Amino acid sequence: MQKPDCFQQIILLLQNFWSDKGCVVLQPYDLEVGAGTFHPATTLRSLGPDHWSAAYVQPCRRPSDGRFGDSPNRLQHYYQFQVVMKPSPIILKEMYLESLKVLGIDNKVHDIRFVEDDWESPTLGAWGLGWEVWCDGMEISQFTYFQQVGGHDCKPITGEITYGLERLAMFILECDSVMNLPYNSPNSQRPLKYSDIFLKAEKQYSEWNFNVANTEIVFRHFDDAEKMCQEILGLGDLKKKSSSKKNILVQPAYDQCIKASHLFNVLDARGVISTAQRQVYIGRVRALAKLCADAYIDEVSSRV
Amino acid sequence: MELISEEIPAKMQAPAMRQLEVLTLKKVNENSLIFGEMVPFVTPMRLGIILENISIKVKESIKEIRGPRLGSPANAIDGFLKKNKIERSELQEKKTSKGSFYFYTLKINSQPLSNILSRIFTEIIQEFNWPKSMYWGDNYSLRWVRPLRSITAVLFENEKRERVPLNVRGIKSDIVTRAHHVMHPEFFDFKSINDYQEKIVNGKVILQPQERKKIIVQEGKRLAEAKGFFLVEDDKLLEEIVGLTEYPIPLLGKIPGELLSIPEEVIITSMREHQKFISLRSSTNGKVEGFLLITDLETHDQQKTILSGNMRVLNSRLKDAIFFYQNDLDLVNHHGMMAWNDKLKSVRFHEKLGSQYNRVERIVKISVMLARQFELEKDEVCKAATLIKADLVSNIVAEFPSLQGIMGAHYAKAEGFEKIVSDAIRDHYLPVGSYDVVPKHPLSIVLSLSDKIDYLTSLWKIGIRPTGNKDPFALRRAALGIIRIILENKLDLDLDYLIDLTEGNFDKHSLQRFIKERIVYYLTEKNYQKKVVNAVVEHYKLDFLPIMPGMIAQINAFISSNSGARVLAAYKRVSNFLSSNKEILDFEKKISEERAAEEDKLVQKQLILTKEQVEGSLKRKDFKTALLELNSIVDTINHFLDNVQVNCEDNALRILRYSLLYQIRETMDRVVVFSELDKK
Repeated sequence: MQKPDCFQQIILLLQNFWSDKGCVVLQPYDLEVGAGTFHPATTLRSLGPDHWSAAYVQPCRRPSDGRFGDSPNRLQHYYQFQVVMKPSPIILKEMYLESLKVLGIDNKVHDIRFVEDDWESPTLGAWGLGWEVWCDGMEISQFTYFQQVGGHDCKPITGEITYGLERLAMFILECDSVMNLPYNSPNSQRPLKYSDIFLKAEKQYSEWNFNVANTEIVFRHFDDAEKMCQEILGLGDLKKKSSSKKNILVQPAYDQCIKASHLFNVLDARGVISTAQRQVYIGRVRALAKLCADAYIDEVSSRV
Repeated sequence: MELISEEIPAKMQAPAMRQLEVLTLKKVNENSLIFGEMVPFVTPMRLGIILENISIKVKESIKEIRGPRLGSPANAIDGFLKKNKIERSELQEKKTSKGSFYFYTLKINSQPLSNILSRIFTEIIQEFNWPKSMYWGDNYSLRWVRPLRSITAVLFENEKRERVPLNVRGIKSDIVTRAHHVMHPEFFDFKSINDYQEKIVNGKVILQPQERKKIIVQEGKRLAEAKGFFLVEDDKLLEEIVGLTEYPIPLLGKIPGELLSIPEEVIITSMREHQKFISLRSSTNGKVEGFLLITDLETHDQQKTILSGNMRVLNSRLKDAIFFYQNDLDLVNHHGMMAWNDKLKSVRFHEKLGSQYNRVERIVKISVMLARQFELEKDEVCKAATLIKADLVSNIVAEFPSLQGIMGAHYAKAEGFEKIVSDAIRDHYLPVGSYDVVPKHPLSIVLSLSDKIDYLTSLWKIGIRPTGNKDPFALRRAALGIIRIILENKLDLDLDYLIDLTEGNFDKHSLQRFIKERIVYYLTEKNYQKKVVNAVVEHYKLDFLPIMPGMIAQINAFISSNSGARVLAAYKRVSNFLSSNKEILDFEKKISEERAAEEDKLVQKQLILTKEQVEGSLKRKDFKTALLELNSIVDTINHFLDNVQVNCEDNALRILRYSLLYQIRETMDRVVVFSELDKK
């Protein structure tokens, strides 16, 4: 098997691989999220009885991880490749190892290790059991069997695989700094590096996240998003208007939950949330996620 | 039986193996099975047990069923025959105390062994209790630690091989199994236990964790010595690696020179936490310059790819660490560590106790008050105490919390503080584990005691208590740390005074009780006799702590000496009188001295004298003298008891005499509660 020679080829190979395994290949969700798990294709679809398999790239934003493009492996904006299969197939682990082979990582040559890492998302009220996957000492993926999401037991269980695309690419392409990754093929007409595409934005967002963002407005946005989410689900002033049982607007509400989560991350990076307050804000986001999960389950069970 | 699953967390493996052994033993006994040897085993992928020479204790049991009386009507007899599906010829006649009856002897063959094992194994799997377990797929009939993939259960009898039938969560047991999941993934069957063990080793799986540990240590040492290194011991890490490998192969790597510019604690911690490397020290200069990587795979390139991949990861990890360290140093060089203290205001210690900054303020106060007792300059103590928690908000400690104190010391040195200050910042966390040494330098001692007493009292004040084996705030460790610092440094420090240095009113009595329990724990761990320890700790206040070990030794010496034996005998004599008296005596009543006999007066005089002496000695904490002073009253006691009748007719006199005996015992108990020493 020919090894991929650039970042975008790794994505294409993964998409094809999981498409062949029966996943629908989706596109990124169009809101700022901290992890691929926030995509409704994972969070919401892991609830309820319906079978579901999907794969997609998700850009992720972690404001406090920004390093102005100076760190060889930390970014405030990066990509995850997310696979969810529900119910989790018995050979999901073997499928995953096969996907690594497609990327040129042969487990007869590389030491692939599954190291305990129980995943928990306090903001999503979700947890699962699984591992970090190490390849020759580099963490390249997270592998999780969801047990609960939004406070609800998952039945059936969703298996989730998250590839850290930059890490994986740095490993496969033997690159010591993320900014030096070839984004497209070095043999193409206009070869571009990761830095050619993202360095400027990385600097700008680091500056914005750490030093500029108007926290007064962000705080307000957070409150607004929270309020909207609650209203859509019929808890606030909009109660009367949207009380029609037939059409519960779960996903519009969930959008507001995602927004609140991201706004919290920005405030956190700006250092304006004390440790004590932190727990309060996480609790507020979790309450929204729980509301959305409740509504989703309501909606699914009222279908019959 | 062997259960193959997806990777079991390393720390759960050894306890799982023990649980399997205990459960199996219980089931085997309940089912009256006997066996020769029981060998449990565990690897990341498998949990299993071998039972050698297993058999059924009683293969056949006999039950007698009573039928009708002799001479009963024929239809009654026929009915009995029909009910039991037997012939007339199978009946026997037997006499009992109630008369003669027909009897039928029923032979019950026990179930085949494989059936019993099938039931036992099923129950074991269903009753197995993982600390964390999960469902997978869409079947909710079994929780397991990670998805259970296959079950192998085989019974060997002579040359015969039999499948032990199991069906758990739709997984049917099989007679085949597999060895290493990458190196030998093909399934194989086996003719005997020996055959299994041989094939599994050839298939690159070492079943016993102890065996894997031995390989890592022996082979690791061999590699290290050949390259001029020796291993940095870390048993916890070693245990974890044992739980991450089925076939451990140590590889040696050298850390590139340009990555060695950070404190070695950072290198060791980063390698341990991020990559599970065992650090190696150079035999020539003692510095950490190499590592052992334990892989789980033999490759056609002799693991070269694995080593080089890991080297690249190490490179980026250590560069990250260097970046953090440089950031921290820059801040220290420009603004000093004090700049971090401000940040501590936003780090919460406990929701009811404010920030880490508040805590530092309290620690500073306590340590300044302690300074004089340790002949330290107040300013110096204040300066050091102010900085002890500063590193908590440094980049490196945010990345590696276990380096708290250690990095603070490095940064203090960089800022130009004296060595005793940086040492104290590092050592004030000591002792953490029971193998840790206690801080030795007075400044370190003052900071450590101030930190711990503030921690203990402030959490105590808001009602946090350890319960049973739960102690989430590690209060026991804090108390034990204080006790060890005082005793192991032979400090003349009053723990009650230390408690009083902390702010606010709270239930000091319960805290003193708690600390006393820890003292008893510590001293009995030191192999002192529990009853002697109790006699001392229970009856002396905390200000005696510094001399408690000495007191225990003196008591032991005293009671085995002649004079000690005499004191003990006199004590028992007095005690016997007091316990045999059932009368309630009013000691308050004034007794006219005139009616007292010469002996009464004598004993009273001696009692007053001894009491004074003893109190005086105890006030000076001269316990040894206090013990010896008890000798002086022994002759008087014996003379008294030999010559007067305690239980006399005269009411007032009787009260006087009992009162005297009571006071004698009280005086003796003031030194040691001798009755405690008699306890079993």
